[in-house]
Formats: sequence, structure tokens, C-alpha cells
Amino acid sequence: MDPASVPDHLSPALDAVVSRFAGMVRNVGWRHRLSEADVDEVMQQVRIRLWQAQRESEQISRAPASYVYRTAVSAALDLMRRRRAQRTDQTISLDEPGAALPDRGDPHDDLAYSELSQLVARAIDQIPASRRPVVRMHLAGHPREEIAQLLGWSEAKTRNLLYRGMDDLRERLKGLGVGWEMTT
Amino acid sequence: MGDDHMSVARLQELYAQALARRVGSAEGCVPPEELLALVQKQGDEARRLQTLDHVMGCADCHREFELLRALEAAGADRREAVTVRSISRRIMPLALAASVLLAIGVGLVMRNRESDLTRGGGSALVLLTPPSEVAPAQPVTFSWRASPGTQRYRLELLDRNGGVVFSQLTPDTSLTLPAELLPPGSSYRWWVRDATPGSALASSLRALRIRSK
Repeated sequence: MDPASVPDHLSPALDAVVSRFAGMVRNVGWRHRLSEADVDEVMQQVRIRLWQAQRESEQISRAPASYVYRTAVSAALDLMRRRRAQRTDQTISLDEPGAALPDRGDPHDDLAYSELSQLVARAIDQIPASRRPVVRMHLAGHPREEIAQLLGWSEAKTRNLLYRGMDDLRERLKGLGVGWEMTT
Repeated sequence: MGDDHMSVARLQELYAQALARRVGSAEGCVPPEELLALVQKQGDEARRLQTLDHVMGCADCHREFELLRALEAAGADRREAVTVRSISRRIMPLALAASVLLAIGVGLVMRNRESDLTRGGGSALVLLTPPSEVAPAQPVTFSWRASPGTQRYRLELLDRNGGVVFSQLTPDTSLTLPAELLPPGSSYRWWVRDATPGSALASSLRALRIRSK
């Protein structure tokens, strides 16, 4: 196809597929506090790539949803590579607002809170590698069912590894002088 | 510290605090392909656990992980229930409506060509106006910097899901839409592409909200 004859915009049909896909991404992402800006950036790249790929319109029209999905994953991977390259070049100040502790009123409280959070992080780092990610997901608020689904595990296996991992964490915190009440 | 007793809820709070204090760096981060393998449950389980362990302790990788997870979930149902041809038939009335809007837009372009033309230049398309929020019941002028070599631009106004609600081709660097097309309280994103064949030049997406009356 002559480049000049390629339409410069997506066909209404393909546009409908892209919009539907983006809507689903946002619906899923909303539950996980997904960045709207990330979705925007990826979907914008999808539009550009589809627009440029319209010469292969037969492949796109044969399976538009699959094509949009593959294009979106590819665009997301490229976005990540670009970000990593930028992060490597960055110097980040420890005084950035994001690194600030919540104001607890008393500087001594701030210090104790900071030390305690570092102890928790250190204790988690010492959990056996097979259980540690499950504990991290649990502490980050992910439900057991979600952990099981992500890892392709049964509910029983997930529960078992989580309980054992939390036991590990309790033992390590005790070793660091921190007590723990199982109130939740 | 020895008297500290904590619940799971407090542990979660402390863990979140510890993560927030970690300084971001790409060094040590897992490659994007491994994030994808985790999301798609591909490859060795031990390796995936290792990846997940890093992801849950790294804010940057976690953000990327969630993006891939959302794409995967949205793409999980990739059944091609309708062909492009059948979709085209159903949305033909919309396409006709869009044509009417385009015709209105062309008139507006011709009217505003002289006054709204913005000249400039740069390596990517730079959006100028409108700001992210505008007053209701007024025409809105979209403008951007000129790009050397660009023969024509395409302005697209998108709804929340990225669906095109207005699209217009123009050789100029501005376009004014009438108030009737932008109802009070509505929110959009908009962008401009270089529509010259073979060009991939585009602006970033910018938000636009029409204030309520």
C-alpha cells in the first residue's frame, strides 16, 4: 500500500476495540490504584502504533482485540525500558517530600517509628525466599485469593505458606526485640 | 523498643512506611520481561517468586507490575466476538455523525486560521492551550506549536476510556470547538499528532475539564 494512501486515523471499528480495551484496563487498574498517567501513555502509544501498522490491516482486522492487547503489552514494555534508562541517570535527594515520615508530633516518636519500620523491613528480608513474597503481598494488603491466582497456587498452599511466613516474621521480630500480638 | 507489641494492621502500616522510604533506582530492578513472565505465569516458579519478592519491595517495579497485570486482565478475554466489518456496520451512524462534526470543525478552522495560528518548533509536538480546566458555555481553542515539515495535524479529543469523541485534520496549529460540543461538567483528554504519512510525531495527552455551571 502506498504510504500516502494509508489513513492517518484509526478506523471507527478499530477505535471501538481500542476504547473497549482501555476501559477494561482502567476498570481492572482502579482496584489496584493503577496510575491513570501510565494507562494514558500506553494507550496513546497503542493508537500511534496501530495507526502506523494499518498497512497490515488484514492481520489487524482478523483479530483486532488480540492485536490491540499485544500492541499494548509491547508499548508497556517499551515504556518501562525508557523509564529505567531515565532512573539510572537520576540522582534522587533523600530530602524529597516522598521520603518524609508522617508528622507524629514529637521528634522522638518520629525516630522510634522510623527505627521500628526499618526493623520490620529487616525482619521481612530474613524470611525464607519461598515464603517472603507472600508475606510482602499480605502486608501490602493483597487478599489471599489474589496471591493464589497470581502464583497459580491452590488456596490451601497459599494459606499454608502465608501462615508459615507470618510465623517466621514473628520469630524474627522477637529476635530483634519487637513483640507481636495477633489481634487481626 | 522491647515493649513494642503490634498487630498485623500496625505491621502493614510500618511496612508501607519502610517501602516509602526506599530510594528508587533502576539498578537491581528486574527486567520488564520478567515482570511480564510473572504476570503471565511463564517460566520457573522459583524465578517468579524472586521477581515477586523484588516487585513487592520496589515502588517503581510495583507500579509497572500493576500496569502489566491490568493489561493482562483486560486482554484475558480476547475472543473476537465481532469482526471489524460487523462493528463498522453498527457504528456507521456514529461515523456519519462524526462527519457532520468534522464539517463544522473545518468551518471553524477556516474562520480562525489567521487569529489562532501559532508558530514555533521543537522535536515533539508541544500543546499550548487550553489549560486543564475551562469555563463552561464558551468555545474552546486548542493550539499547539508548529513542527517543521509537518503538512497536517490531527487533533483528537478522547473520553475517559480513550474513545475518540472528536477528531479533526488541519494544516494549522489551532482549532476551536464550539461550546455545544463540550457540555459543562464533562472531562476529556486531548492530543495532537503529525498526520504526515510516515511521521510518528505526537504530543503528550493533556486533560481538559469543562467546569459545571
